[in-house]
Amino acid sequence: MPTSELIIILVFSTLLAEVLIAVLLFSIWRKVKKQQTEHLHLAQATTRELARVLQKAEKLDDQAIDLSTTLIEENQDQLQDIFSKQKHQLSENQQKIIDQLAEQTAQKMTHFQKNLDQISLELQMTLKKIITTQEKQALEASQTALKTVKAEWEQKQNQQLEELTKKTEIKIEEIAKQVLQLSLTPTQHHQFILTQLKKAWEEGLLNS
Amino acid sequence: MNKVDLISPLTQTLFTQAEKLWLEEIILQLSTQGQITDPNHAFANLPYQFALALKKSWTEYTTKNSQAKISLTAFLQTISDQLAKTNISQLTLAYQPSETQARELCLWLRQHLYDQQLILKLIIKPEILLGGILEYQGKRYDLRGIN
Repeated sequence: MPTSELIIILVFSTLLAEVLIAVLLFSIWRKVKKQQTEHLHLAQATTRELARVLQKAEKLDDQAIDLSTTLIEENQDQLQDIFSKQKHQLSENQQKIIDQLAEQTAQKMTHFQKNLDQISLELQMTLKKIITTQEKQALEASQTALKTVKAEWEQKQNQQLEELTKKTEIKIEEIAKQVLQLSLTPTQHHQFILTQLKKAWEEGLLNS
Repeated sequence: MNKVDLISPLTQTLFTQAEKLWLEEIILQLSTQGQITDPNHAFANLPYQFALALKKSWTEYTTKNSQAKISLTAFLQTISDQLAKTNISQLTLAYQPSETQARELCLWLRQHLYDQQLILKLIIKPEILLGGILEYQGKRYDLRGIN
């Protein structure tokens, strides 16, 4: 076989191999591209589904809030009614108890006052019986003795009062003298104490 | 060590407890200043009468104790000790006496009570109105007679 034919065969075979490789690469690229597209579609579908679910959840949440608010308002009204009724009932009961107690106390007081009047009356009757003639005489005697004692006491008091008056007068005179002496000058005071010292010494009080 | 009466010269210039306390304090201060040797220097800042009395006492002290070595600090300490033992008589007065009057009262009492070292503690109480109350050696003499 000539060389030129060999070269032509070699060139054609090389071109054929390149075409085959190109076809193979193109088929692989298409397959990969197809898979990517599928994945993209799947992701978009999932996102949309998730958005729908979230929206639904928000709606449910709003409904739940509305429902609970309504329930609370209804129950609050009911509770306030119940509380008011109970309060009213309690006030009525308290007032009833107070009225009953007041009535009972008044009854007891009346009963007690009656008993007291009865006892007082009986006591007065008994006292009238006890005071006899002899007791009256004894009473008169004790009154006379009391008058005597009172007269003696008054006399004694008068004497004591006179003595006290005299003493007070003397004291007043002393104080008057002291007040006069208070007006002395320091020099006069000094002379006075020197005189007193001399007097005490002469009387032997200081040279013991 | 010494039986010398160091106080008598001093008491000639002391009449009241206030003066005595003041002098005691000065003497104590001097005796704690360490070694003092020159009396003229040591007593230089004292009033003339006190300084003179102290010098007189110091002279007597050194004369009587000429055999022993004498320290001026020890002398001052002895003075302080003896001064602390001085008799004090308390006199309560209705008026505030002047220094001369206080001195006169103290001298009169020293002369008539035969106690030349007597010091007077003066207390002023106007509420006793007149005269005074003397307390001496545990006895109390009321001098407020009204005549």
